[in-house]
This record gives sequence, C-alpha cells and structure tokens, in this order.
Amino acid sequence: MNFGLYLPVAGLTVNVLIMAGVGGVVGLLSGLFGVGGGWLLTPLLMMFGIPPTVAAATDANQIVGASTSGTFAHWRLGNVDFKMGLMMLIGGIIGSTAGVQVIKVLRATGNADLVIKLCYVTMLGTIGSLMFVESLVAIWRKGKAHKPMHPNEMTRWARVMASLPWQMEFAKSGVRASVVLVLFFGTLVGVLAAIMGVGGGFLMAPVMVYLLAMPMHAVVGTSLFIILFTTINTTFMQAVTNHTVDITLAVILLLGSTLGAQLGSRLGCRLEHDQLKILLATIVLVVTVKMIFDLSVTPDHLLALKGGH
Amino acid sequence: MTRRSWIASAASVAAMVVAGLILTSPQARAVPEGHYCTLSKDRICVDSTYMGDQIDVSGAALPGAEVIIKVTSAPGPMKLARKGKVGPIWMNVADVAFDNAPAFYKVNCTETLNPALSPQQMSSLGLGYNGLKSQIAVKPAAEDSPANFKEFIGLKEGSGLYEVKPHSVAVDRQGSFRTSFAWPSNAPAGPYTVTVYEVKDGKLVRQASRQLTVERVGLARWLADMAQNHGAAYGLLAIATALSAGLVVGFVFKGASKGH
Repeated sequence: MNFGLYLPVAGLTVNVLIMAGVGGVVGLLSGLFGVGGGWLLTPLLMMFGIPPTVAAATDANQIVGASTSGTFAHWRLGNVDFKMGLMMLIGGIIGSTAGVQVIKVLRATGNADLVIKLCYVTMLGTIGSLMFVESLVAIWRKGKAHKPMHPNEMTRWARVMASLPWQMEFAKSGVRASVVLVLFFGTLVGVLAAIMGVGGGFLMAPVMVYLLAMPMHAVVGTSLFIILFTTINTTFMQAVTNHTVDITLAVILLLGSTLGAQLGSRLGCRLEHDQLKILLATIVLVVTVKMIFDLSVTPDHLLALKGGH
Repeated sequence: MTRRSWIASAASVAAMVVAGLILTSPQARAVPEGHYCTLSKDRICVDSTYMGDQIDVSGAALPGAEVIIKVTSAPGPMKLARKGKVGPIWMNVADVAFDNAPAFYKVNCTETLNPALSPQQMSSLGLGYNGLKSQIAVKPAAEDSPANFKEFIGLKEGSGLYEVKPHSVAVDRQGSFRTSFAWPSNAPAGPYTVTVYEVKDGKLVRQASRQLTVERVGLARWLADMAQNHGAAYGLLAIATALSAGLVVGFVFKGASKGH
C-alpha cells in the first residue's frame, strides 16, 4: 500500500507513516518534559526535504495540537497551575514583544547571530550541567536524607522571594511568590525566546524548577499550558505574514504527536521528581551538544535555503 | 510636410515594422521551428495522492542529428544563505540571490553535451550548467564565484530538480527519438517549456518547443490558494484543526483510562 500524501504548501509528497512516527517521538518528549520540541522537529522535517520556512511554521502549528493534548492530560492529573501559567504568559507576551525590538537593534550592529548562538549554547550548557549534577546528587543522597540539597542557598533565595512585594499564593504549585517576580521571569523568558527564535520551553522549565521552586510535575503541565498559547500566536503570525503553515503536514504530525504527548504525560507520572529532572537535564545537554556540533563541524553544503531555527 | 510625403513616410515605417516582424518570427530564423515532437502529457495534475510523475518526449529526428532536450520552469529568484567560518564557528555569513534561475532544469541528450555546440551557442540557448550560468545573475556580485555556483547546482541536483543526463535520448533506425524525464513531487506548480534541439556538425539545425503545465487540483489547490490569499482564515483553520486534534485525543484517552 502506498502511504504518500502531497503537502500543498510545502509542495512535495511525504510518507504518512514516517511523518506520524516523527511526530510521535516529539510528542512523547513534549508530554514528558513540557517542552515544545521544535529544536528536534524542525531539523528533522528539513532532513525529509521540507523547506526550512515551512518546517518552522508547521512545527508551531503541530505543537498547538500536541500541547493541547499534553495540557489536557496534565490538567486531569492536577499538574497545571493556571494562575502561574497566566502570569508567566503575560510576562512572556511583554518579553517577546521587547525581544523582537532588541533583535532588530542587535542585527543592526552586525555579527548579532554569532553572539546569540554563543549565548544560547553557553546558557543551555550551564543550565543542563547544573540540573544534571544537582539531580544526580539528589538521587545519590536520597537513601540518606529526604531534604532538598543546598539548604542554605534555598533559604537565602526563599528569603529574597519572601521579601518582594505583592505576594501571591499559587496553590496548585504549592508555592508563594511575588507577582512582580513571576511577571519578571515570564518577561525574561519571552525576551530570550524571541532573541533566540525558539519557543522557550527549555528556558521556562528550569526557571520554574529552580527560581520559583515549583515541583517538577507542575512545571511540566504549566509549561505546556504556556507553550499552547505562544504557539497559537506563532502559527497565526506565520500564516498571515509568511504563508508557510502546511495544515496537511501538521495533521500528519499530530496523528503521532497527540498520542505521544498522552503517553509522555503518563510515563512522567511514574517517574519521581528527581528522575524527571535528570532526564530533562539530559535532554537539555543533548540539545546543547547538537548545537555545538552544528556550529563546529564543516557543513555538507555551504549554500542553504534560508529560514528554519 | 505635405500630405503625400506624410503618407509615403508612414508607409515606409509600416514596411520596416512588417519586415522586422518577419525577420524576428521563428519562421524567418535560420533555425526552423518544427512540429515533430510530442509529449506524453501536457498537463500534470497535482492532487493529494500525487507522488511525482514522468514525462516522455518522442518524435522524429533528422538523419544523423544529435538530439538535445531541455525542460525548464519559468526563471525566478532563489534566495540562499552562505555559511562561512567566524572564529571556530560555522554560521550564515552572507545572503546570496540567484536571479533568473529556473526552479526546474533538466537536459537529456543522445551524446554528451559538451562538444555539441560552441560555448557561445550553449550560453545563448542556456544549454548545460555552463550555458545556464550565463543566464543567471548572482547577487551581490562578490558572491558570483565558481564555488558558489557549484554549491547551487549541487543543492538543486540533491533535491531532484536539476539534472543533465548524457546518453539518455534513444534514436532508433527509423530516426525516431524517445526519452523520459522523472518529475519529482517537489517540482513547483506552473508553466514549463520543453525544447528539442537538433545538432549536426556543430550546428543547430532545428528546434521545437512544447508547453507543459503543472497545476494543483482539488483539496491541494484549495489549501494552497487559501494559505496564499487568505492567510488569517487559513491560520485560524490551522489553529482550530490542531486544537481539536489535541482535545479529541485527550478525550479518547480519558475514556480509555476510565475503562481500565
């Protein structure tokens, strides 16, 4: 039987089974870690001949579906902190709007791309390594004590958090934090995501885990809820300005990714906080290594189509 | 100017225009345009199940002539980014535009392409990659290097859109020629021109052109048109589709977990 399907916007035929499989893998990661998965999906789609601009835009469309499925699953498991999500989202909108302006200024100075890429690699590498080591130590010491690590640092940071104005109770996450702080972090993630041209799931999760001290399961659900809204916005903007969203491709990817997101969120429930954290750290490190690889190895082709991540 | 001399000068202008038209018309050229070749189809319909196609070109060749067949889409701009090394890092360092480059370019011939015609003729007809190169403008001019052109050809060949294939036109004893062009699914919609050149003793002796159209039909056409012309509605449709897919799967799984 023939599983080919023509994609009208991308302008080529793909194998439905392969694309749904690719969607499934990305959806699984999304449901498990609360990340969008664009960093993985966009290059994969380009590998199958999808033009970079269509790959990036369709990716956002696909993540809308996968994160709906993931948010839904996590909401039923009680893992979505809507209050926290909305606050971060408001900050994110302000931040990404500002970020777009920042990138214009950076581009005008020249060599901005190099600075951005180096910042991205350094930041992801640092976050990934710290998370990895910290969760490894936590798992290692688990048998001896159930207390979190670095109690002094935690209390110092907790004291700073408590001293900030407009404290608000986030019941779902079980934390108390200043509205100003949450909005600030949301804005920060928004600025960085816009500058780096990524969804921001990778930046958001560590901020919620470490700086807001949220439990990992709530982080994943809440992160997916935020990603749902940011990708709805991206899909619409791409469809209006670049005309590069391919619904047919998005539907094929969704066949796999919506199922993957459900499985991912269930699998996540069976893992403990520290196990989930070390897996997220591993994925962050894998992305970092991949980026370093892309930047340092001589490319196969010195000329390439423009666009993509 | 008298009325008589005005009429005389108008008549001479008209005569020159007519003479010019005759001279530039295909019939008046040294190389005659013939009607001796046929395409297996002149319209490729792209629907949702389209997997690419194949076009056969056949006809009657002049005795002893080499046959060269070129298929090309309308020329247009192609924007690329060139990667270069900045310190230890590979990144996009320049935008390179290949103006007037066809998205699709394939040449099949009976022999090899190189000794067939003089380089000047190959350039004016746009035959072979060297001939094509003279018709493409690379911008900015600083990027107009042999290395970049080679990369460009490599990129297009890699996506199955460019090909120059020697010894690929068969001519039988009766002088009938036949060849076929593989049509990948990523060849863009639009008009294509198939030109048959016949070369004898280093000279072009006859040529003929046929038109071919690739067009999207049915759902594929509707979606492509909507994406291009009604971006906002298309965007909302894309979002609604993804949201409902996510919700449906969510509900299905909820039902499945209740059952257990």
